[in-house]
Formats: sequence, structure tokens, C-alpha cells
Amino acid sequence: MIYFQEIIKKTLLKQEEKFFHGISFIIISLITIHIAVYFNFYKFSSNWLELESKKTTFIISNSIDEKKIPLDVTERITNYLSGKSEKIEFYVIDSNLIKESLGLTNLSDMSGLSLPFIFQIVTDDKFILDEVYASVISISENRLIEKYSHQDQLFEISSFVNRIKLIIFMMFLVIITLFAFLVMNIVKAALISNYKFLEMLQIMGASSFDLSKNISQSIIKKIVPGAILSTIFVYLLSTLLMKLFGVNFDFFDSSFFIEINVTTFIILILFIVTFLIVLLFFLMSYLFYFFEKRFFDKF
Amino acid sequence: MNEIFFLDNISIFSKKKKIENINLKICRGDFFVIKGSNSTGKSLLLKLFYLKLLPSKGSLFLNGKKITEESKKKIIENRKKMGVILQNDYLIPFFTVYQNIELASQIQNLKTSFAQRMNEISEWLDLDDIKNEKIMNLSNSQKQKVVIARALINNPNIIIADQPETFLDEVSTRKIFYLLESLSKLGSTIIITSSKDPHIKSSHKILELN
Repeated sequence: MIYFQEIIKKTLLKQEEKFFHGISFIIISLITIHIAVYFNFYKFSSNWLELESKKTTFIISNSIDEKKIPLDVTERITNYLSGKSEKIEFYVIDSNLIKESLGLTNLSDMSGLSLPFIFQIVTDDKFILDEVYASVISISENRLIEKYSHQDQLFEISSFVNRIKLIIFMMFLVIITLFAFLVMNIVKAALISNYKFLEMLQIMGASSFDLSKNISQSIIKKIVPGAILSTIFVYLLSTLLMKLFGVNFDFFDSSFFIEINVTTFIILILFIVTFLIVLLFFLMSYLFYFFEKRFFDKF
Repeated sequence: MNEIFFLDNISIFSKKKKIENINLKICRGDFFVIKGSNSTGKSLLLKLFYLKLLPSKGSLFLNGKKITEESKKKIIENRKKMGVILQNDYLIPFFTVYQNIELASQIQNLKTSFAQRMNEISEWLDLDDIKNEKIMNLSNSQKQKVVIARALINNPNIIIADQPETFLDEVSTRKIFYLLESLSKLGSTIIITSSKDPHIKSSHKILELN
């Protein structure tokens, strides 16, 4: 028993088979790498932005005659914040870190430099923020306190991040469109060079739908090996990149690496299945149009 | 007699050829021959019968129903019931004779047993010895016989042939014409173009194109 699809497989695109495997591996790798980068960048940036936007920095300035905020005041503030640890997270910025970020590490404590007391709290509850602000003013004995919400300062960064996401998405669309056109043109060239054979099938009574369905399935089968290989390749590549660069993102918890790897893998699999199904329908529609146009000879 | 084809004042205009004002009726069991010198449009007219072409003017009726661009489903059904033999017809070179014929039976959804029908046809056309040969190893006359066998596998009601004697020797040509006539007597409608007058008989319906 011979099968219609087997004949099409052996007749059409026989010479292009290796080319199809190669090109589908390269281009689908490019497409899936965009998916992996977009997803990982999206995940990273949204996690980072979410965490940062909850932060508020408090800067308590010294009185004129003070080089440092007195220890009893900072202790009282720390104790107050610790008492609220169920509702908020807080970080006290170490004075050495302030010096380091200002490039003043070599300056001795005996110099005239006065360092403020800086701490950050993590909460998006405005009521708690106001309460902390009011309490800290009173604990700090009416020293000057500046409060900066990170959310206001993140506007520029988030618009920059969105621009990067848009660029990745646009590149993805461009490559996917080029790939679809490339496949379409290779198929069109193969169909035209084998048209005598296809016309014979049409005269025998093969419908445009049957022809387009069988040819599309045959083409997809030629793309599948390259697509699977490219998915595995991109998954391994993204894991490697995360291993190399992701370790510094210490604000994620330890399970993050495993979580992001598993989700990347699932997303890549889902994408490749969806991509192949969409490509199958796209090819079917194109081929159906091709055969319907040639159903009758027209002069 | 059952009317199979009715051509009502049909004209076909192609880029190079023109066939005008044809009125004819072909009935069940007719042996219809289209005659004419080269480039008179015999093959063009034949395309109309195997429904690959629609008339530029006039109406074509098949089994009493008008064939239009919209009746594609009906056209596909009718194409499956036809056996078409074309000049330089396409056979798949790396498949065997058997597989090439089997392909036609699959597309046309052969109702009876393929093996039984294949045996009958192989016997008629002397294909028994080459049944398992690949097409690329066959001579032109053997290929022509395979094309004929492929057209007949589905026991078609209508057989359309464009110069079926092409590449065949005198003995084989006579045999093919005898076979087609027998099928016509059994009720199949035969429409052929032919350049060989000795095989055309007075019982045949003839259309001469100028």
C-alpha cells in the first residue's frame, strides 16, 4: 500500500530536504532565542521593577554639629522598624557602602565628612509609610528627613525596559515573517517545477484541500527535526547564559534558577508546538489558494 | 440514450487558438472522435471534456447539469469518475508500474478490489511482465500502456484520450482501439483525438476541427 503523502514527500522538495532541516534549525533557533530572551528579560525586569517600586528610601540628615547620627537614635529607629517586621522589610544602608558609592573610601573618620543615616523599607502600603515617616521624625528628634519613593524614579527605567521588550518583540516578528515567506517561496518554486505531476493529480480528482493538506503536512514533517533540535539548543543556551549572568541577581530566592529553567522549557515547547500548528495552517491556506487558482486553465 | 455531454454554442478563446460556436451532444456509450490537423485545438477542446477548462462563451452540461466555476465539488466528483489519457502524461519515475496505477485508484477511491481490477487490466494491456518495474526503466510504448492502464483502473464511465496511439506500434494501437470500442459497447463514453484514420470507423461520431 502506498500513501498519497509518501508520494508527495518523495516527489516534492526531495532535493531541498537537507536544506529544509538546516534552515529550519537556524531560523527557528533565532526565533526561539527571541522567545527565551523576551521571557527571561520580561521575568527579570518585571520582578526587579516590582521589587524596586515597593522600596522607599529614608535619609536622616545630621544636625549641624554632628558627624554621625547618634547611636542611640539609630538604635531606636532600628528597634522601631524591627517591631514592624511583620508588615515591612527594611534595610539599613551601611556607612561604608555610602562612602563606597560616593568614592570616598579612603577618607578617614576623622575628616570633616558627615554621613547621614539611610534606610530603605519595602512596602506598598501608603498608610504604613506615613506612619513610619511620622514616627521616625519623632524618634530622630526632629532632624531633617527626606523620603524618596522609588516608584517615581523608576518611570524612566520602566519605559526603557518596555522599549527593549518592544525591540525584541519586533525582531521576533520580523524573523518569523521572513521565515514564513522563505518557506512559502521554496514551496512555490517546488510546486511550479513539479506542476505537471500536481496537475495530473488534480485531473484525477484530487481536491485542492487534500493536496494542500498533504503537502503542508509533508513540509511540516521536514521542518520538525530542525525545530526540535533548535528548541533543545536554545534551552541549553539560555540555561548556560542564566548560569553565567543570572547568579548576580541576588534579590531572587534560591528556587528562582530552577523555576525559570522549567518555565523557559515549557514556554519553548508551547511556542514550538503553536508555531508549527500556525505554520501548518498558513501553508495550507497558501497552498489551497495556489491550487484553487489553477483548478481551471485560464488564458 | 442518456445524454452525458451537451455543448451549447460553446466558444473557447486561448492566446493562440480559437474554437467557435460548437454545438454537440455526446451520449452514454458513444465513441466520439475529434479529428483535425496540428494546432487546430483538439487538445484544447478535450480539456473542456475533462473539466480542466471552462468555455469562454456558451454553456457546458454534464449529465444534464450545467458546469460553472462555482460547481467545483461536483467537478471533483466527476473528475474521479473519468479516465484521462494525455500526451506526455506524468508518471512517477521512481515508482513501479503497480504503484503508479495504485495511486490513481487511491485518489479516485476505487470501489472494487484493486488487485482484481489490476489483474484484468494487466492482462488486457500486456503489463504482467513489467508490473514491478520502475517507470524509469520502461520504453515509451510501455509507459503509454501504463498511462492507459492508470486511466482505466477505476472502471470509468467516461474515457478521454488525447491521441492514445502515441508511441504505440501498429499491433498495440489496434489492440487499444479494440479495447476502447469494447468498453464503449459496455456503456462507457469514449472521447478521443486521433490522427490515425484507419482506426476510425463509420460507427464513431466524428468532429473535425479546421
